[in-house]
Amino acid sequence: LNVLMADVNRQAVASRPDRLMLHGAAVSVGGSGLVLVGPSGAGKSSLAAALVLGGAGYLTDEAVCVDMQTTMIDPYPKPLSLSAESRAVLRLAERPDDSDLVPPDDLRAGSVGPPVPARALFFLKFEPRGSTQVEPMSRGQAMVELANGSFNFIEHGGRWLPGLRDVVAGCRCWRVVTGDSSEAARVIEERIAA
Amino acid sequence: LTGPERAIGGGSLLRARSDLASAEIDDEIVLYDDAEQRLHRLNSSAATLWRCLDGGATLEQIAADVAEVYGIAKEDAMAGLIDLARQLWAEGLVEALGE
Repeated sequence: LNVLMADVNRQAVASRPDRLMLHGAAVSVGGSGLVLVGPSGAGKSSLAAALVLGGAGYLTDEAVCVDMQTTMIDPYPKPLSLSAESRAVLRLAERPDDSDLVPPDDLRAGSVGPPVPARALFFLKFEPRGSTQVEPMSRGQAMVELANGSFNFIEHGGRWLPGLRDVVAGCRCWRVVTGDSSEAARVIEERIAA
Repeated sequence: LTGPERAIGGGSLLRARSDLASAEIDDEIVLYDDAEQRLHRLNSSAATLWRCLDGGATLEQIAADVAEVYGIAKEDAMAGLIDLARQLWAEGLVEALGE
């Protein structure tokens, strides 16, 4: 099933060559899109799930599709990939099929959100047993890291630099170091509300 | 002489590479080198120097202008600019026009 999902994800990325595709997760809070970016194992899916459990709208947990002209994020509400450990931390019910794939409605019924503009970027780093630290980062640094965390920026290179700038210019940007997705979700909710 | 072995000093005449894609955001500049498929971020100070590097003035002349505008000693401006210019040179972001 995981191989099939990986193929579906690849097809999803390939189907929108005009959009910036980010390796990340996304949720919506109050009409604003929050994008969670980071390498595999950084905790993107767990943090997205924690935010959805707290009331955020679910958009995706794998490939974030952004229209660079409007900065809108298209929902791609695939099941979230949550390990048994992540599910235990989030206190989710055991899966009957023992699968890591959790439908968004199993987190919260009706949790899938509508398209929203990107308004905040969080660059994640997982640090086991570490307390959550959220620090603002410059938009220039965010542009570099967002491009490096994209599936398709390099294919277009310099031609997409203005579009990338437009997306980041509309966002507040933070670096997040955490080992606890529930705690990180609380801290992020506070930052967004501020 | 090109490459990181070149000595960058006050008499150096440098020009920002015109083949790089650039985008300004806040007080920074992000550059993209299509040939190297690599992004570079210039912080506020490096971005200010980058804008001055049009090949029309040496680092010493730029330092004199910076010292006057910011009201600092020319030697201090010079030291900072040369350090930044060396970083831009090491990253391959500027071209030398001769001395």
